[in-house]
Amino acid sequence: MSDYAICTQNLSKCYGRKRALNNLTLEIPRGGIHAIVGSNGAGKSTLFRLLLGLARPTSGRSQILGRDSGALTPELRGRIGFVNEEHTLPEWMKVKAVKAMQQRLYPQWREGVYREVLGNFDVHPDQRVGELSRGERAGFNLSLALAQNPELLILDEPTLGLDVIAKRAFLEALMFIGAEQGGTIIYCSHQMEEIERVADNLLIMERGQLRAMSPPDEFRARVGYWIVDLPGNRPANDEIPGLLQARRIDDQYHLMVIDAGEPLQQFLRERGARVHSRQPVSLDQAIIGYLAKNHRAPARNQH
Amino acid sequence: MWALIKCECLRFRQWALGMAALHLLLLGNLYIGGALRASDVAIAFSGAILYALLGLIFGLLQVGSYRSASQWAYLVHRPLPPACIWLSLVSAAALLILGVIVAPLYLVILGMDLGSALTMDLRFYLLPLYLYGLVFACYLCGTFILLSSSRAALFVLALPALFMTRDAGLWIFLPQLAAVGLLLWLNRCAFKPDRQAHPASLAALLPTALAIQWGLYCALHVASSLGYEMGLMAIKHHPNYNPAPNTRAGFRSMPSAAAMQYAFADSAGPMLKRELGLAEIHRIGPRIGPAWNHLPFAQQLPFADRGNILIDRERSIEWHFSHDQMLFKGINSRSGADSGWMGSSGTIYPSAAGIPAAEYFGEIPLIVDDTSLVTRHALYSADFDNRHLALRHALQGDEEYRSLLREGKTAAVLSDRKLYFFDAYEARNGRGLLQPEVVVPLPRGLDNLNWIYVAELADGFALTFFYGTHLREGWDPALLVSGLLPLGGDFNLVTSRELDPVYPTWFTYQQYLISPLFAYVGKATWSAIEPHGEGSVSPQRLLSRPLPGGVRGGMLLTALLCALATALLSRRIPLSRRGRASWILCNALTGLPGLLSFLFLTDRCQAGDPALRAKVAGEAQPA
Repeated sequence: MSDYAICTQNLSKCYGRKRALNNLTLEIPRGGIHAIVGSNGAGKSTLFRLLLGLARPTSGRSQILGRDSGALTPELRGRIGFVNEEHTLPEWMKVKAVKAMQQRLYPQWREGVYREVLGNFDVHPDQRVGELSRGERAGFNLSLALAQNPELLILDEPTLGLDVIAKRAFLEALMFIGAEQGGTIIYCSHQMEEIERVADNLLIMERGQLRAMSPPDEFRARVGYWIVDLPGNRPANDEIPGLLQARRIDDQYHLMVIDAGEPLQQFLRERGARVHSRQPVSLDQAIIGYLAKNHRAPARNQH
Repeated sequence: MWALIKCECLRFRQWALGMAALHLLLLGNLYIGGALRASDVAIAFSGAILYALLGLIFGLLQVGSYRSASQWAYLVHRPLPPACIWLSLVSAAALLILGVIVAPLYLVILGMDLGSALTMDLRFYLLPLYLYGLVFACYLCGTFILLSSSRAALFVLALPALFMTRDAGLWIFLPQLAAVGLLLWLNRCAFKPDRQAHPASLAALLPTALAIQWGLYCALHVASSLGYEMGLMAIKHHPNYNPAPNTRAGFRSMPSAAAMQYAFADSAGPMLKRELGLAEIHRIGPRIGPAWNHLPFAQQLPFADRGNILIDRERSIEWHFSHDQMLFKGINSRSGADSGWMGSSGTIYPSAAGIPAAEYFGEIPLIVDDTSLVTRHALYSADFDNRHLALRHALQGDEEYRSLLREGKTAAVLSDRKLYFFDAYEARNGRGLLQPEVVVPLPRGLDNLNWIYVAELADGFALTFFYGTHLREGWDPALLVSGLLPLGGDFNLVTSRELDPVYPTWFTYQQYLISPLFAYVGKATWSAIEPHGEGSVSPQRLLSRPLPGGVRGGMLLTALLCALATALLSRRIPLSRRGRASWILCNALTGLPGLLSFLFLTDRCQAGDPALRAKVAGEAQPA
């Protein structure tokens, strides 16, 4: 059995002249909740499509649960759960009918888990799926996915468009029931507070490439927020080591930097700067700062 | 799988119930209005198009709703083989079509059979199955268009046309089954988690490519023909409007007297010319007047009926021929009451039981007009005053009737080999068996015959056989064969005159230039499906057709150009050496459709693309 839930090697996918994934090499170990973040167009959904064998890579290869993505067997598909942002379900069917259909498909079905997760949402078995609110539908979809007892559960922005109550119910169900099952959960979201709460591992993707992979706290610790007085002319951005963001507020420079302890201090010393404060940042700020820097940079990996 | 079938059926249940009710209502209205048994070609064709569209739209809707990435992932990412998922969708569709199309049709047919004096033969019960096949084939076209990795999948719409012919005996189920089987296989191959992946195995690629190539061939042929003809119309040079002299089109447009004078121009004396100008001239042929290309087939599907009802206007009785009983069934057209059964002698029986064996028709008759009916080998006249059907003439062997002429002082019958002249008075007023006065063998057979001019002269007849039909141009020469038939004498061939072709050579042989292979396959296929069609030829005739040197050169050039283009284009396509060679060879045979399908069914790479580099490195899989 492969040690990795997901493994890709130089995976690329082009749509015409647009390169959605660019030589992505990735190894996600089994177990835990792994969050994938990235701006729009980072290639997250493309990665999932390739992993599930729904699209062919332009080059490279990918494996999921130790098997080539292009050759997934029905048995293996039964061990991989997938919940997308739209929570696609047969809207014309009743909740109990959908559940019965899924139950027949998955021999490892866990009725207890289904009931427990669905208990967090106000869903009646005789309701039609089309009559459910977005939050109820998300909860129903999650309960189906978790009851299938998947070894790997892929959640592609599952809380998109949910209100705070539904989002909390969803995340609690995921954390307390999903994580207890011992499988691997790949969680893709733009909601940083969610990631901070649920993720054991954070992967940052940008323009089809993996930029960072570490536990969220570790990543957050790499980013610092400095408030300094810089005499003289403002230095160019690329002169400041590890700079993510720079803003001038009331004659003071507010710098967000990454991995820039000693080099930054040396730079500041050389420029005769005075450090007012050095503050930690939230994960949200760290990721936004990290992604915003490259978002402004000219595209170098496009054709 | 059953759960998925149920799920799909539930999804469309409201639509299906609504459509089934609407269909039943429509059929009921048509029955009450009397249009249901009408064999008018426009009604049959409109109905077929409507059913075909219904199937196509259903296929597009069903698969179209799974087209979005999330819906597609939901459909295919489940612990079932893709074949099972696909089969579930198709099975659900098959059940729904059964409920919407077949069930209402059977209800109406059963209602007509049990609730009226009409007799519903076996062929009426087969009609819903044929329509089911039509709708299902079009549904499969719709699903394939959306499932296929190529936009050229649209061209499979040419496949159902293979069995949408009016000349439909029971064999029509064979091409229908073949088309449905092929479409099922194409859909099965196209249904895979990665929809964008082109078919990889030979078992998937070959039928997909051939089906698309066939559609492309038909489309190119139609586009080229229409384009040229409409271009000629635009510049007012179309042969129908401005026929060139000494051509088939020019001769067709001449008045009868002028046409015969033209035919006899080289050899007729001034006396004959003058007489031809004054004579009463009639035409008889397999494509004009009371004529038929072929007689009805046993148990032919109802929409193929032409001349199925003999009408007794005096008593308001419609005599419908029953293929099951081989007798006429009478229905009072005013009251709808049962008027009994009529046998081949014209005797009427109250029930079909106990009728003498001699009364049963041996072959299915064609009703030519109110007083004449004809079978393959026998010609009858109906005398409703005396309630009598009289056998007037019979043919021997495998000779078959094709047309009748009863005008002026001429009474003639055309068979597929000969022209029979009878005494006109006796033919009109007599009741006994007619003996031909003169028999004229057709000088060039029947296949290419437009019609025969018969001019009534003072001392006999002048005949001109006008050969050269539109569909036979390029197969047989267009020519006029003329002669004289003196009273009581034999036919003397006087002159024959060749006519020039209407269209240029390239246009006549364009199919061979588009695709040498499909030109032969297409002709053979249509000839098999419509064995008595105007353009149908035997396989021997097809293979022995002499092609002009220029056409053969053009075919060779097409083959070379298509092979060369394939070779050049394949350099940018990750193909194995064997796959590349196969495409080049096949495209030399299949011509333009092959080349186009190659472009549609393969992925071309940009220079420097990793896939192309892999190909160069010899790592690519054979496509």
